[in-house]
Amino acid sequence: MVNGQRKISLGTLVVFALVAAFVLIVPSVTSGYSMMIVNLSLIYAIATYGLSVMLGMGGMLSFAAVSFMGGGAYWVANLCTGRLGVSMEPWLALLLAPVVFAVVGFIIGSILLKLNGTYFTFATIALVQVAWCLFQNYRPLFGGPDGISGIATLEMFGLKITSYTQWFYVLAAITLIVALLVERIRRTQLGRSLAAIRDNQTAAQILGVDVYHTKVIAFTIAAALGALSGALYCLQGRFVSSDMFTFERATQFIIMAMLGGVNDTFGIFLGSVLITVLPESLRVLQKYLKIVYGTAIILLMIFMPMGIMGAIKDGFKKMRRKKREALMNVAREVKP
Amino acid sequence: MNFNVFVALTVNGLAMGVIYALLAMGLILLIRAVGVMNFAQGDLLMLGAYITCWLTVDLELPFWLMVLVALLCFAVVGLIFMFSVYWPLRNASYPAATVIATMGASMVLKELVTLLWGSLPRSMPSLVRTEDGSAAVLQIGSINLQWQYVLTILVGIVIMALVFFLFEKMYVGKMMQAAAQDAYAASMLGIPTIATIAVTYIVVVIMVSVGGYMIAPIFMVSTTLGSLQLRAFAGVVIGGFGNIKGAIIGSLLVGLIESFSTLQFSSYKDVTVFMVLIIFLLVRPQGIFGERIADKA
Amino acid sequence: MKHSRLALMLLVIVLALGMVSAYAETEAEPEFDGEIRIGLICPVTGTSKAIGDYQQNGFNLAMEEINAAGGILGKKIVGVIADEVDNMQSAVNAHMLLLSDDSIMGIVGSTYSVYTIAAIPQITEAGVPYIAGGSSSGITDEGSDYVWMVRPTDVYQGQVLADVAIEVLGMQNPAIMYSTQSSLMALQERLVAALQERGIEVDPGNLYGFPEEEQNYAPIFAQIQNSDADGLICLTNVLPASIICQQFEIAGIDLPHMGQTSYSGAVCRENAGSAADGWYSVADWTPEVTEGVAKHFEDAYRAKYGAASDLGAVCAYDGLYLLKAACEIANTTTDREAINNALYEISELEGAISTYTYLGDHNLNTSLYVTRNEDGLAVMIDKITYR
Repeated sequence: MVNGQRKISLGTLVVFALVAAFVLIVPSVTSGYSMMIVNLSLIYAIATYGLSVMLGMGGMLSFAAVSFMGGGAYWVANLCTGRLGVSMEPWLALLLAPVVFAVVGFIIGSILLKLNGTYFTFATIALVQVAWCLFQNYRPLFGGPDGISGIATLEMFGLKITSYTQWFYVLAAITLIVALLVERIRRTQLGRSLAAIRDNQTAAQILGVDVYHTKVIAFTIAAALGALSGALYCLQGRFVSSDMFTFERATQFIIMAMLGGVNDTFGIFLGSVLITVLPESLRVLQKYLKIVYGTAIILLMIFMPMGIMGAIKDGFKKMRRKKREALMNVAREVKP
Repeated sequence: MNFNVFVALTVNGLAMGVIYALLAMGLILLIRAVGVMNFAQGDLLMLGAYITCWLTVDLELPFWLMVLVALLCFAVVGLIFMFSVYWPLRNASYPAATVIATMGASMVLKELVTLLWGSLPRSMPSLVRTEDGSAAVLQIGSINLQWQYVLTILVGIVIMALVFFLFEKMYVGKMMQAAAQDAYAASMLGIPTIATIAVTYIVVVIMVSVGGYMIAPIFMVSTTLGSLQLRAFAGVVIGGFGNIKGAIIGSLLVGLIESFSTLQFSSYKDVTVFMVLIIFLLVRPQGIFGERIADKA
Repeated sequence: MKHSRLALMLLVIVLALGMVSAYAETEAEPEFDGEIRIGLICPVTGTSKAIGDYQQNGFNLAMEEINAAGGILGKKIVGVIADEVDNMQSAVNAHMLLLSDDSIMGIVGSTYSVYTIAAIPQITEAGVPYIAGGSSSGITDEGSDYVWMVRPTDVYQGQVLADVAIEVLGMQNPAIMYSTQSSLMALQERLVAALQERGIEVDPGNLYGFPEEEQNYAPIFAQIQNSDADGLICLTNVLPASIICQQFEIAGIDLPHMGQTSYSGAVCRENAGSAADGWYSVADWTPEVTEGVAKHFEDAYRAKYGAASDLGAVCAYDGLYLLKAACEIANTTTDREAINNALYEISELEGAISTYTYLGDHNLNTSLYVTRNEDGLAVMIDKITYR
């Protein structure tokens, strides 16, 4: 047991070292364009963490992240251009976005989670379509097809965040906080309740888990993270339009989560980076990129449904088991 | 709204509804047989349209030969589809994996057709034509109906009736249902699971591909045909999950809602359709005809 | 194990090929005194690939012509293409890819207005002269010093559309169909305003908006047919345009009908076939031109690619020539600021789309074509110099 404990901390250390290396090395070797791509993957990672709470911990397939992302983005866009007659400091709008959409998410979640399993998934698909259509057409709130431009720059502690490198540090910090938060949730009562619901809803209910409320809370967290990610997206790009919040984007988030490992905090980050960066770095293959991408997803699901991190963990487990077996064999031989 | 508009919108809504119904019925057959939600359903319809377009326009095959070759192609597509995104995943530990594999398949299908046939939409001649080759129009009083719509409705009904008969009334269909409900017990009884599943996949692909063939002359052949599946999802839910009759009615309803919503908010069409869906889910989650069934996915 | 080795081998081969092709591209011919890199942003993959193919053709044609004539101030043009795919994020990424490359002296931009608008803060910050291929007045409204337009904005298109609708087709109560996309929705508003100035109030019931991906226009046609509208004006992109032409013919509506530039485009005419005949169009471009640079472009295009050109091609062609003219006025191929400032001095420069002149705003265009589709060709009826 002691041995096991040390191993976990070693793993954490490795992850920590990787993250530190990422934060230190990336800005020094990349230019504006690559920096933007990396930033984008961090923004996506935040929304995908919400998905990991829903899908990974709770086993609920939800497409709604993208709509809340849109909500957060338009919230910031409206408040930081003053187009509705109300304007707000960008940092305050950014801070309020997850709070406001946690409330919205709570309300919507309370309604939608009356539904089970596939019905719930369908309801989220419908939500994505409705939200997207409104974003695209309703001018007073969402700028219609023109989108909203001219959004103020973020200012924090008297410092204007303008360059992509500055943004990188802000985003890296926020992503790290979110990742730690999600990792923490996994280890609390909430995380365990969600896991129980995922593995067997009826059993969880019998064991005294309040299934409905646990799910609603998970949905609320996902909504808040989605809105945070959207708000950041909007502030970094200083432009927002409905194009970003389509059903296709929603499936992309799910693929990100599944690629890295839906149940692994580091995996989510890895998936977001890979799905965002790979298509950009493989532009040589332009013509065949999407086919390769689609095929890769199918193969991935067949051979490692728990994503890259899942596969790595399985590999470690097998190695450990082999070692243990070998040790046991030795012990058996020694024992006369 | 005057009467002419009413009739035209109704016919159009029903024709679209029939296409959604073909997709929806296929979805339900798959859910029943293997418990998988297919996110590539619309793309299979698109592939069907491309294949028939290729056979008629590029190869200029006579109609009967075209039908034969097309059916053969569809069957092969069905088998390939099954053996790539369902069979290797049937024992997957994580149920979402199979669903996500179909999303990957959707992407592959879209890109494959653009690689094979180019990215420009292709046009297909109408099935019923006047002498100068343009599409024939059915005139009843002052109402103009395009024959292709009428034909789509008729063909759709025939196919749905056949499939309904096959799955609900015949022994084969009973066998398939048995295999779907309890693969182990069915295989003990000597029903080959793999064969019944393969037949289901082939039937589904043929159904949706014929749907693609029927609307190709109206909509042209392009990758955007794949987006029709979202409406079929709506039909499935409105009709009651897992219920074929319900899915058909639900899809027709979606077609009609969509058609009539152009009267007021043509650009908010999606909002109307999907708001109805959400309302249905909340008020009557079991759908129009639904009995509560165990949720598989 | 075997599989991973195979995958590794494939990867190595792909990388090697990529490097070889990259090397082949940058190899300069001896007669030039260095090179000048110009970017092109267009869809290379995805659903709009067809439009991107035209853009690349037009760009390459201009590049070959200029290089054959000795390049820009003796420098060989090297094209750098970035793929905008078919969505906002990829488009912004493509813009950033070119903008963060300091060796690029100018960019021939996207034909989708909203992609350009989304990237304007970055374009302005990078300070690269950018010739947009879109037509929304939203592009110039952003007030960037570096973004220029070769196509007439919706303000002018709306005026000319209204004139043609009333004077040529005799419409008094037109129905308007438009896809709800940035530039087209703006154009619809301009058109309604222009009609109002000419004394025609458009009944809101006669305005039909629909999403860009719409495929089923029959319900809208049924309503138009049974309304009191005496004409139809369609404002869409090329791909919906071809479907609209076909479904319009099928619906058997007997009303005068016209569209904006998409309806004279090759993509629309080729896809819709005979259904596109009879459509009037107020167009930025028609391949059936009869004079000047436009005629030269079209002949050269057909000789090289064996087919008629389309708007995307001519935009990229003119865009590159504008950048060339600016370089020559500024007498530099290395100073982006000077090249951009030279664009303010453009005057009476004859291009294929229009004769370009700086008239106080960043739109350099001065004219529009009026065409009618006959026997699969967009026959030019008139060329209107609107300012």
